[in-house]
Amino acid sequence: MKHAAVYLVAAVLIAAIWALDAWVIPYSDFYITNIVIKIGYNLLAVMGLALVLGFTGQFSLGHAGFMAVGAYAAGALALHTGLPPMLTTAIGGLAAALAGLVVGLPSLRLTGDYLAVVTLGFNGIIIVIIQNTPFLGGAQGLIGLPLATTFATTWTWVVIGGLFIRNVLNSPTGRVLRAVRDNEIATRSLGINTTHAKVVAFVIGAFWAGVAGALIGFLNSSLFPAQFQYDRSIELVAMVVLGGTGSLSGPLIAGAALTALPELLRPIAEYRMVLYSVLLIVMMLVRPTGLLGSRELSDLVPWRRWFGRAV
Amino acid sequence: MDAPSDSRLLDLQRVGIRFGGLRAVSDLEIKLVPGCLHGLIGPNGAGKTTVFNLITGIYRPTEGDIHFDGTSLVGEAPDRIAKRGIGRTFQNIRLFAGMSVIENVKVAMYRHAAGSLWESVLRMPRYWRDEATIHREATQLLDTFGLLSVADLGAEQLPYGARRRLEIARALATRPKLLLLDEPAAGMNPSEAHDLMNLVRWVRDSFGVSILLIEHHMPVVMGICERITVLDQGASIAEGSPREIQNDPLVIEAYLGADVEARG
Amino acid sequence: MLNGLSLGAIYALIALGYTMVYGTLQLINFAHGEVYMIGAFASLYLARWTGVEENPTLPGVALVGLGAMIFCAALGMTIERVAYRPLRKSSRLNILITAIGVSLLLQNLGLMMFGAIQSFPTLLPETQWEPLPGLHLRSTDVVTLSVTLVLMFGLHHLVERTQFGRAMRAVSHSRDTAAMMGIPVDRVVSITFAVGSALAAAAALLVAMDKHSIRPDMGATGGLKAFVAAVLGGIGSIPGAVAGGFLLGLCETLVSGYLASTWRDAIAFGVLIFILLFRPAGLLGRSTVEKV
Repeated sequence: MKHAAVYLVAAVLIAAIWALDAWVIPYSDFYITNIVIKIGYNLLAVMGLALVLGFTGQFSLGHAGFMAVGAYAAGALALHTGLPPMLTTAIGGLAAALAGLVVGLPSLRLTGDYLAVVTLGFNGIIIVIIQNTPFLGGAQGLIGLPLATTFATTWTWVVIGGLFIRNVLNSPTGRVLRAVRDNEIATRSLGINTTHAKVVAFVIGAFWAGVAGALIGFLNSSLFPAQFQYDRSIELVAMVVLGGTGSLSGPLIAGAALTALPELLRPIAEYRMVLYSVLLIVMMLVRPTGLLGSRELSDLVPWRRWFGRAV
Repeated sequence: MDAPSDSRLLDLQRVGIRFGGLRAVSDLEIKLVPGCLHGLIGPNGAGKTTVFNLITGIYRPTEGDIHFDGTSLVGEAPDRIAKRGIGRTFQNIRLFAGMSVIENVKVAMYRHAAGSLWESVLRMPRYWRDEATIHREATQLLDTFGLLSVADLGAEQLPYGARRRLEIARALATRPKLLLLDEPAAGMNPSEAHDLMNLVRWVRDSFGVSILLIEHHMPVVMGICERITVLDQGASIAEGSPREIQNDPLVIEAYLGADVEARG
Repeated sequence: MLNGLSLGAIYALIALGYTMVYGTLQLINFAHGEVYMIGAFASLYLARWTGVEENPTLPGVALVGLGAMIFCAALGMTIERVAYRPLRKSSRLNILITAIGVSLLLQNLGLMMFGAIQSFPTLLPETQWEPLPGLHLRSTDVVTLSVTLVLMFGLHHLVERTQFGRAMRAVSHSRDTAAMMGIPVDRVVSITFAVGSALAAAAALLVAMDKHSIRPDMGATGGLKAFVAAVLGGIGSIPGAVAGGFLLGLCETLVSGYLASTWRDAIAFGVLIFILLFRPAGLLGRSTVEKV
């Protein structure tokens, strides 16, 4: 019975989200709602990258590329076939996962900075391909997408994604991923195919990035290749690193804060990237393990009784 | 004197490796019979750790052949070789620093008791069953290695000797047929080293695993190993029982003499 | 053809900075592209303040170039001192993230201070002639190539013939051993950054005089291409960076003759991925294996 508790929590959360959507959101400030939705899709992208970068130790600088794949697959499918946007969002996630497989299989034999550069290169290539594909709107963008991203749909995805990642982390696979991060040679000496493990993490991370990208398209009703350039990848890296590599709740907190701050403090929005970069440098110099290091929020507050680890 | 070839668990035949122009190991012969506690000794820089890296596939030999359990290991990836039943420890201990003691052992059980990723993500009954099995077995293993009381500590928090033991426990958790121990008593005082060697012998007896052991402390090796291979400048110069090794003039010249004198 | 060579020369000049820093610190200095960008703006403002803009002379332009090189050398040394040196002992991931942070910071500060785009004055007379039928020579290409060759010759002399060069090669071989031999590692690293940054500044001035427009994001694309060149030649190898730069420049020029220019960026990325996946040590680099 206690095994079902986490499903119960998830169900209650989703019910609460839809209740809010029905009774509170219609009366709340449009601008604030928009920020809350932005936080939602950023969290989806961040949790995938936390798995890849924080827990598996693989430095991907191409996460925005997978967002682009998901966004364009979902957007073009919805636009050209009329399939329901939330279905194409899931398909977009799968397309991104496939891209993750294609990129990950060859690249994940590389380590450290070489991996970072190769993923950066793939990010660039994905953007160039989109820019040159008329079917995807090219550089002028894909417009006229259905508006389907709401508070409820976004945050339902966030709850499902959070549960998914949490369950991966607390599983035999999750242990293997952390082992790869800590010592790849020792992990191989245990008979574990580390490339395979890294690809699994990459594919999962890409899936949730793809879902996040799709939600962006259905929020703005349009998609532009420039939205998924590599500064977005770096933004996501900043969120994970500031939140703590080896933590899930840390990056989620950092992701929410770094999304909301520039929006709420309009005067600093212009300096957003400056803020990110200064935060990154200072954090590395002062506290390189990030906000929470490898701890979870549940280690700091006594929530564990109700939620289990890694909430 | 030689064991018949079909009864050898591990058989290195004229193995050699060059790094660029440098011949690190050449004409290496090791014959290991199942169930044996086999020592690999040699002076510093003789290439002992290189031998382990050759067996476990981290380096690929440029000459010769390595047979394990009847088939060749040459060209196989390290994880495939480990899967075939060879576990190892490292001279510079390689634990998973960011994980707890018990998790270090649980990772090693991944191949034997873990369902699919989907079963974990969806938290299906199989997942809970597997996790319970893994937890029980890991607990048992830690108990036999005297590490149960520190199971939830971070692996890096352990004192040195305990880390060495944890690394052996982790290797055993993969259920190997052959265990390669790279200087497990390095950095220990004589009494700790003595205890560790008793543990090694006990591991061999109770887990039914063969052991190839690199060791520097000569008296320790002579005390517990049934067979010994002596390495000098990348080549095996003698193989036999401790008594045969002690009386081998080549060995005395290359290693023992100097070492015994130095140690008084 | 000459066009491709001069483009390659620029890539090579910037790539040298990447490769020298990687050689000594095993760090991809992401901020190097931004140093190059700042070199362009430094040249612009120097030309303006010294009056070279209104009244360009060859010594004046050379002076502007020298000034920009000194400015960028100081900038590169500062970046190393402030952001990288305190992290010398921490993990490579942390240093890499810091480097990305510095790059992002400089780029955005540039955007705030300089605006999106500025035009660059004509400092040297530009002509074009046709010594052989079908062979067009542009004076800017000739200038770029000759300046690059002079700088490369100077660098070669510095690395192969001087005390500093020996120290730098020792540090890139093994930092710890070099330190034990009494080589002032910190100073060598510092000078390496200075030299690399100065070369990037020279490249920036040459590009600015050719293209007549400079932008705060020119470091991102230019830097990335040059980095590809460095990887192509084998990062850490100085002749490799030169070869990689020319190779990439020629490739891009040749291919963009046949394909739409929008695909041009994809070439660099494609080459990068191909090289890293199939020959990770690059064309002239040496591969290293983790010690077990």
